[in-house]
Amino acid sequence: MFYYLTLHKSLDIHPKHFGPKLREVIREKLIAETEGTCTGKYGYVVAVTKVEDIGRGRIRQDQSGYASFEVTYGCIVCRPYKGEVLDAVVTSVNKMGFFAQAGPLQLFVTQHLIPEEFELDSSTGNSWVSVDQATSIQPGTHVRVRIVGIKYDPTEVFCIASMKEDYLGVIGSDFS
Amino acid sequence: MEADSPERSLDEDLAAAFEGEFGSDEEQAAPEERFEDGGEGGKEGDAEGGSDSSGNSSDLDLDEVAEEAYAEYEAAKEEAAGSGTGGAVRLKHLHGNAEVVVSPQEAERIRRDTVTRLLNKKRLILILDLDHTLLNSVHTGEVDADAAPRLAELQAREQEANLGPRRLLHCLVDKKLWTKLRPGVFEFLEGLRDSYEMHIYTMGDKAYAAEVRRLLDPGGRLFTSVIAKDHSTTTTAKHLDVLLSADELALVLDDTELVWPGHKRNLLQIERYHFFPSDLRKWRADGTALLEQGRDEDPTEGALATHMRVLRAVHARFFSKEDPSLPPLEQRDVRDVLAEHRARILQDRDPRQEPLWQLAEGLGARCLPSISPATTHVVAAAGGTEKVHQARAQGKAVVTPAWLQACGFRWQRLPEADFLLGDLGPGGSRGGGSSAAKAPADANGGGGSGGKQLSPEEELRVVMAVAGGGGGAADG
Repeated sequence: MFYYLTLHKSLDIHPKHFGPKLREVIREKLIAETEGTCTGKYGYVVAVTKVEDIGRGRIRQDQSGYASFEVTYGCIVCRPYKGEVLDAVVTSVNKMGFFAQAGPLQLFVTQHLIPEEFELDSSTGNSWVSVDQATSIQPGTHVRVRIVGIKYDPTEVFCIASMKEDYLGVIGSDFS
Repeated sequence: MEADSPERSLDEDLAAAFEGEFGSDEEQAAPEERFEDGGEGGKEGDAEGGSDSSGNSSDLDLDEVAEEAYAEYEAAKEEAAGSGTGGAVRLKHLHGNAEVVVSPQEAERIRRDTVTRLLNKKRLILILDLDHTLLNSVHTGEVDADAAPRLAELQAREQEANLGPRRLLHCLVDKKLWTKLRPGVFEFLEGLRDSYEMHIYTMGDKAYAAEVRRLLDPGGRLFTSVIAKDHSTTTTAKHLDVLLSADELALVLDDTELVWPGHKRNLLQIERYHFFPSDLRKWRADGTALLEQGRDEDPTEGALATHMRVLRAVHARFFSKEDPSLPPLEQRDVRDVLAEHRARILQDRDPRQEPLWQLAEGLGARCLPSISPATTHVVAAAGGTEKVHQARAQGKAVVTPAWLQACGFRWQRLPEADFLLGDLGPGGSRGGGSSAAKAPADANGGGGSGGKQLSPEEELRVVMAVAGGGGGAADG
């Protein structure tokens, strides 16, 4: 799910930037350091929308000359929840199941959470093919899944998802 | 779900998962609280649907499996969880940088599934090495001034031939590499794709492996997985454990035996492919690489073509039906089939199986592999061997194999004088071997009898040429 949050961050700025463009530099540095990153607490920072406040810079007492600025900014974050239903694109398939991606989130669907009618077919690369041969799951397939478990790393959120439920399954592909 | 303490609840889940609750048969044993623990928000609707008290509702199933999935999903946490990691397999080649840890039970289940699936589809597993097996790569910086123009010329020629993706010489600019695919590699891969599930296993890094895979398999359809050095469980050896498949169904094609310490019997060792001179120098000081010689391996008779034939034969033998000498399909071991196939290479050289030996015996001769006092004739394809000298010294007749065959055709014993072996042996080459015989004759080194309507002499020439024993045998 996506949220709009107001967060704080302390940025160290090199003295060469202490000039008329200081605000611009801080903004750029903030975006470079936060967008696309992931925290276990808030999930992925998708976009910084607004810099709300830049605190007074404090010169660091370590002879480096850098100054620290407390920045308050608004951003959009993506944080998965258990039970959330997501549309995702399959990125790789193996005999344990398949990996899919929903925006920044990586999902894994194990073989046990794929409907039983799907069987692994490795004759042309790996893919899970339904018994009637009508649907297949291969890289590029779009699937709708429900998150059943989440693992938080300092730099990554990893989800376990299920496709074995009503209203979940293959919904299309990149190729059609 | 309490967003503030995801770590804690996850650890609990992991710990629970590692208590060994694998397999759906244990669902009933799951305590009821687990339900409430994990149930929240989005799942309520289903929980109602599955409110039958059978204890086997789909919801419970889901939780169980989710935990199992956690268990597969690793990191340091699993060590913290403490139990159940002994023998777990870490798989790093499946997806990007993600690492999957599979518990021993689950690994075993996947192995069994794989075996069943492969046997049903009549396929085996083939693991292919890249460098020196399917191709040869060198850094652009290593190509010396001498080789550069040859490469440019070769590249221009391939461009002209309009081979498209089937070109053999590639310059990977981003990786600063010249890569030369071994001739016949496309035929090899296409020819085996139906009988083998193919995997790449290289000591190169991940990016290199991916790049090369693109060259070999532009459609992305041939290889089931690509395992690079970064994925391997050890740094100096290759091991089949990362494939989660059965060793008894897997064959390995590699140029280096040393990297497969545990799987010598699965290995087909292939002659190293040295195309670039600078690459050859790394291995040994002398000799010239194929580029310097201005030639290349033959796509239809080269090392890859040979191995394709062997692999096909092994596959056919493995899945051959109703052969009483083989165990039932489920118990067959491709390593035994391979060993059996390999054992046949020299086995056929038993002189008793040779057509000439059989011909001689058919004519009433008694054949021996070495000279004895009772020997009357020595049949030799080439002179200069010890046996020939010995026979001459003892005054025995030394004749060419043509004599034997001519006797057979004419239904009479022809004068040996017309078929005496020349001093240096016909063709003068190293010869296919000579043999002594007791009584009229013996032969080995002869090969297949031509069934065409040729004059005896012509036919004999063909026969001898085929046998490779030194051509132009007869001079009747």
